[in-house]
Amino acid sequence: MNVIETRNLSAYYMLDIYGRKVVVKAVDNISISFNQNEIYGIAGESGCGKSTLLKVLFDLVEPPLRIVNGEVLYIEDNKSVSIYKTPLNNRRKYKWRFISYVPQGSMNVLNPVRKISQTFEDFLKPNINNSDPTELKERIVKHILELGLRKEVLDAYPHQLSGGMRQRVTIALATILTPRVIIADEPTTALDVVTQRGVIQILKDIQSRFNNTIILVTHDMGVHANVADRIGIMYAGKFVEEAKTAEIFENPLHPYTKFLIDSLPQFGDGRKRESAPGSPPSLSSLPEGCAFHPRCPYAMAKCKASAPQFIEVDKGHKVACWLYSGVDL
Amino acid sequence: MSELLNVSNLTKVYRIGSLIGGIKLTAVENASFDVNKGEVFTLAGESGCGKTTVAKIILGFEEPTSGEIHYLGNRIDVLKDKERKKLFKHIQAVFQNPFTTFNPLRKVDSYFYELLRNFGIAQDLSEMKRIISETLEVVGISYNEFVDKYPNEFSGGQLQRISIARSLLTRPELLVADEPVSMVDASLRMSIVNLFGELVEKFGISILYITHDLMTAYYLGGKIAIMFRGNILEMGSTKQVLTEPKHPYTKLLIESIPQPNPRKAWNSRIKLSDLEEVEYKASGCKFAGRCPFVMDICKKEKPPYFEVEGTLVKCFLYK
Repeated sequence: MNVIETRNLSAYYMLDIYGRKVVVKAVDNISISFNQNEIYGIAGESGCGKSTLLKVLFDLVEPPLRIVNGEVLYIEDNKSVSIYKTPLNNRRKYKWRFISYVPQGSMNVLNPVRKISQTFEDFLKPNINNSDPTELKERIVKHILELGLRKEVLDAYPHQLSGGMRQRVTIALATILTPRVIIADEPTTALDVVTQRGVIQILKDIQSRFNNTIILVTHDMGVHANVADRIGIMYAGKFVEEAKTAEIFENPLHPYTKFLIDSLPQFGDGRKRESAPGSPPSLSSLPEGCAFHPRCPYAMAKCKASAPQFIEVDKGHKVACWLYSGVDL
Repeated sequence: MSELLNVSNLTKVYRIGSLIGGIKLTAVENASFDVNKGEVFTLAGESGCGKTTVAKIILGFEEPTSGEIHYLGNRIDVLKDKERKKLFKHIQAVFQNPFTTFNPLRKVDSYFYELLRNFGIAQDLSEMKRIISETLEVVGISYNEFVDKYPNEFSGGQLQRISIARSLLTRPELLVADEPVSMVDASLRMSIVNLFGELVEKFGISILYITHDLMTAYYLGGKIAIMFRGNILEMGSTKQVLTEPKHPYTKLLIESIPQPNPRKAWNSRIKLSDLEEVEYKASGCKFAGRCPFVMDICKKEKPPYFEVEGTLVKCFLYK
């Protein structure tokens, strides 16, 4: 069952640089759905629009970013709500309770002059009706312990904690209201491998305890292989491939996905690895047709003329590439 | 293979806090290693393990608290500024983020001309151009796409190649590369790593490769030292250390790398790390707090190095 859906969603940054209008197509006609009780991994390199997609999903659209087309649906108790058609004061109740967000570099979001316990109180008070101080404290302590953090963390200031510890604290903050959907934007990028594993362990624990949905964005395919149930690959503002994790790694279809997966070195395998030729396009001046065609070794005339649709080629395996969509759409 | 750089008993202590009552933090403790000619030497470890401090000391940006560094037999950690500048002809650096390597308001090619002039490598403009285009060719960039441009006109991957080309201008024998691929887009990362491999193979350059990415270290080969909280815990040939790790920390580190293969997903749980400060201050083995094989002696005494199958391991398990 779906919890979040997007329909033909386009969100562009409308910039005005010294009188020159620039349109950055960060999210370009995306229709995708996220299921209940899954970890959905979104992969793609920097500047492919993945962070913007998350912002749009979380209703964090601020100029110059604008929704140009399409809608985002939140589905709770079999009722779907189109969030951008809902009046502003009704939207607030979804934040943190239905959908929660762990932003990029979130280990730096903690207020440096407040103790962790105070930050938790500041966060909880406006969000729950009954704010009896002792009950509040108990709830915070219980949640912290459940996530494997020590109680002493609450009495610390952010600078006294390491990066990994701060990241775990922000994850604890984002999950204390037991949201149905948690969006995590590069939660482990600045961390080393051992700490990264600890953070991922926590995310997985939360998911299996609450049976909710985690949308995990990272460019590290290794992390996806370890935690994601399904993976979506983004390139230049669009999804180019989506499938179950094992399927993506064992049978990648899109040439870009193939490059991403084949370029990863593995232990015990000294084969020479090549990366994709060329470099990623700028979202403000995308090539005509399929955005990957200038870098694609299989590019055909058709690829330069029109962009392929994102269609299902096998059960649960979607791809946007002319190599696989025999029919003209 | 002959020895190019020799680091012996390098220690760096930082004081944190005020003059009175500040605490001392040993960022690097008795690190000793050799970098041979035409070889990749990898310093690996998690953030805050002291690997960048070692690079800074070798490049002369920091002074060591104790210990010595020799380059081709000459001591270099005590050099005065003037002599150190001459040394940069032989040792060059490649930094993590190419966008902060270059001043955004300066054209990139001006760095190349300036460097050639400062070292007196070329006499006139045509010779400079010849050297620059030759060097750019090595990294796979053509002179025409490079000339007269500001840093923001290049992609991250291109700019990192240019940054490598800049460091190659003086024809150095040693490159100190501090996390050179961590900021490069995933789809271009391997092309930079391949470039380092080529530099070693074709030109016999030595590379001190500082990284937390053990996969690329394995791919490049050579030798490796695993650092943890300022100590080198294990040192030996890269293939051997990474495929048959001896030290419990190395084992944990390798096991924690997310393998890009869903069949090799983790199935065990790990003990979460303690506060950093506690680990730095530990009087015995720094890893004792998290080690699954910890013994009483580990908490009291510092383990010495033991040689096991050609690999140096700092762990009492191999006594």
